[in-house]
Amino acid sequence: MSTTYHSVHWNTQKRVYDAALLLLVILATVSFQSISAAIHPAMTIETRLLRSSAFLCLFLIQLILCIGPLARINPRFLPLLYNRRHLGVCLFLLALVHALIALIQHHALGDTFPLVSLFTSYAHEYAAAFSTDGALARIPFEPFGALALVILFLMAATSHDFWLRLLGASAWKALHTLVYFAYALILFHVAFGFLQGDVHVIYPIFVLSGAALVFLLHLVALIRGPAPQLPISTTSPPDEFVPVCKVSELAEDQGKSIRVGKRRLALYRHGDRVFALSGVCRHQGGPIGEGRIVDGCVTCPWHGWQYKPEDGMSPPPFDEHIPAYPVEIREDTVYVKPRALDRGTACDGAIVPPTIMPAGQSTEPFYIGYLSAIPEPLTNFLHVAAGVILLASPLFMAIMAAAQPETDRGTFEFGTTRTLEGVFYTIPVPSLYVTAGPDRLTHPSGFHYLLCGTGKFAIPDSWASYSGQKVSLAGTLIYRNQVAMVEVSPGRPPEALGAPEPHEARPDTEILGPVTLIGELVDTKCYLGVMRPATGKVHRACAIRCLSGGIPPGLRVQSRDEETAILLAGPQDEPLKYDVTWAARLVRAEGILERQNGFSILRVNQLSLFDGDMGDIPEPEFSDYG
Amino acid sequence: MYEAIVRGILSVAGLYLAVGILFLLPLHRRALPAIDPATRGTGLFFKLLISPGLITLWPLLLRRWRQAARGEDTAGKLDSPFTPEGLRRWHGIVSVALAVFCPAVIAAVLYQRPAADIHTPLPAEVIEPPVWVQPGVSYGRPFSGVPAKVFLARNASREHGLLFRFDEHAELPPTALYWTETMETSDTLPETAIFVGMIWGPKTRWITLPRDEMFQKGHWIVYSFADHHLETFPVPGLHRMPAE
Repeated sequence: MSTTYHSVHWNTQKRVYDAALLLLVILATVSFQSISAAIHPAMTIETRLLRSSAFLCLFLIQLILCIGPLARINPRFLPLLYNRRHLGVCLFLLALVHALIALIQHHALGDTFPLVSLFTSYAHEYAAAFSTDGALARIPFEPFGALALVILFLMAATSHDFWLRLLGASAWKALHTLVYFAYALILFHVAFGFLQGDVHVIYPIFVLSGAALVFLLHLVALIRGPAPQLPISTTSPPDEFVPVCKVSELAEDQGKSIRVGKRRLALYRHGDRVFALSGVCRHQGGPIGEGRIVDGCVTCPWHGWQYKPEDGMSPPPFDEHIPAYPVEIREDTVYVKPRALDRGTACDGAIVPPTIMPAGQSTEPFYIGYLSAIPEPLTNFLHVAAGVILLASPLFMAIMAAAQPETDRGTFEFGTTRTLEGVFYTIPVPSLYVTAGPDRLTHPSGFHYLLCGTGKFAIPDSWASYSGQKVSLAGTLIYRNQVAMVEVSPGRPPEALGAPEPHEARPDTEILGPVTLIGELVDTKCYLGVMRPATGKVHRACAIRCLSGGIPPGLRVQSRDEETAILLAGPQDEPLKYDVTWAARLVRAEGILERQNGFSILRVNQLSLFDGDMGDIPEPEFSDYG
Repeated sequence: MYEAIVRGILSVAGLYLAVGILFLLPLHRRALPAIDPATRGTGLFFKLLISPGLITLWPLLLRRWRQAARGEDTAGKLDSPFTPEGLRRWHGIVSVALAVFCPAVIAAVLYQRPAADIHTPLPAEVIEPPVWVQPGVSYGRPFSGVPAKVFLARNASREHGLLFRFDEHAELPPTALYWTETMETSDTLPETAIFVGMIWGPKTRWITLPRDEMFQKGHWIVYSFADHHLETFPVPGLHRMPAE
């Protein structure tokens, strides 16, 4: 209730609440970042930020969803409920950070508009979801998160009382009930995304147990919350008084909820009179019958909105109103006429016989959120509750950080430019063959650098004219194990240095023999070190963008306790023809394995999705591999 | 087809929000004071706070503005009474539905997680098998800026070689090992240098020394293909350090 709007009606309570919230976010983030950096130093900062914001969002939304039922079970949680919108806005902002990092990292700088890529990179999986074994889990997870973000945005954008008034309480409440859909979407986002990787069992346990906790609290609130009032059925016309309760059941200045037919009413005994008002607060439908009379006004327990008991009008200068009802007392019974009085009509209430004593008062402190002070019994309780939450959040984040799967390795020398000289090749993949030099002219050994462009693109097609020439080019190194790549800028084409000397040309590849390999289809740029992790479903959209942009495809193969990426090329010297949406999926590749100093390459005769059957894979023909 | 549909939806959404941005100032200056007098005299931060909602819900604001301009009583619409019964019923239905549906979907999706990594045999030239070595002489020398320890040792086949032991997370740019009998200058690769193999991190790497003299005399040279930087250290026949 307000005569003019403020951005926030600051008081001590709100300041403390927001300070505690800020402290929670800081503690949680620092906890996650420090543990992650210590245990997984190879993980990129973007991945750490992505995950810390994700886990914190999950923690916050579960906290938000628990506060409501907790406040119904025990009114001492009402102070947490009062400023819950601050939690909601904070949740949205964190989710926005997470979304922006993910969008930029995985979908930007490619050949498709990022938002389009977000929804369509592997959208064909929707059609296959229910027709193929195991395909349900391949449904894209990104759209779930995007839709959840839209809901959180709508809620955050309309969290001010201005919107409550403009939309009307019913529509506003219905909009904000969408938080449950947002929660479901977030759970799906996690289950279809992060949980599809090789993750510790604690993650699905947390997700499922968190959802179970939210549901159980709602169930308990339904069962153990303030007893639902059995409706007093009546066949009388609404102009007739209906008996509703005994006078002795009413405590002084404390409400009693009743239902007459479909109407929720609230009875109050104030002084020597009994009044009847609507039991539903105009603000957000709070239970007027669970309120108190403070400063002569019926006060809603949820947000402290006030109404005069005699006519249901808010005290000036406010003009909100709830219906008031005529009430009579006959002997020791309260009678209410279920037809409301006209707005603003004063009613003196019913006089209570002096012999009838009021019922015993509740000793529970009554909380009013817009006051600066909180009743002392509540203060102690809140200190404990806040302490538990502030301890739980960094502990939870630490566990989430520690349980993360081993991240991919690799180095991306971002910000460092090196100049290399060598012979430029485009077949089978763009590469630069560098011999030991520049002062070594007779040495036979050299090294192949793969080449790629900036962002999620290959080198420009026009650079094919440099093929076979000795060039100098500048770029940024990416390397992992024995494979290295140079990211070059399209704006800095190679400098031609003429024809190479015979010893500078690359030697013939070493042919190792026919082989059938099973591995994950990856884009070599991310895999070698630009992204960490660069495999699995969470990276699938980015890999598709990179492969679609021409980044050389690779097969992530595991052998013994090691893994490596083997380049894939067509059977002759042509590029491999394949479906880029197979990225991050297991594929079966048959062909001839070859080796150069710098990479291994499979000249693929046949490439298909792996169906799980290892039975018909032939023994390799190359020798001495054991 | 998906892409065309998504592009269409995003285009319409973008246009919708662009119109909302265009209407933002008129809404603040003229519509809001007419619709809700309590917005008069509000501060800049309040206006900023509600602006995202105005951009998103501008048709509703325009409709209210039109009603206010016609003198219609919007108080009832603005202050529609809250009727919780229907909402509570749907609240209950939705809660139960989500409580059943969500765990079922999540459990099904987790059950269908892709198989664990599949191992495929690869030749040693492509992926190095683990090597058992006999303890030998060790060096502790950083090279290529990456700290490492170098051991001269023998493998299970009693071949001499160098075992490079790196930090668990160390990565090297392309780096090669050479051997030379004589080292005249320390900054250029001698003509007589013999290429032995490539070195890469992390953890351990083994390089077999193909000639006896490589572990008896001369110099080992670690050469970086990234910046042509080289580091040399003598073979233990000349400078021996205690074994660890």
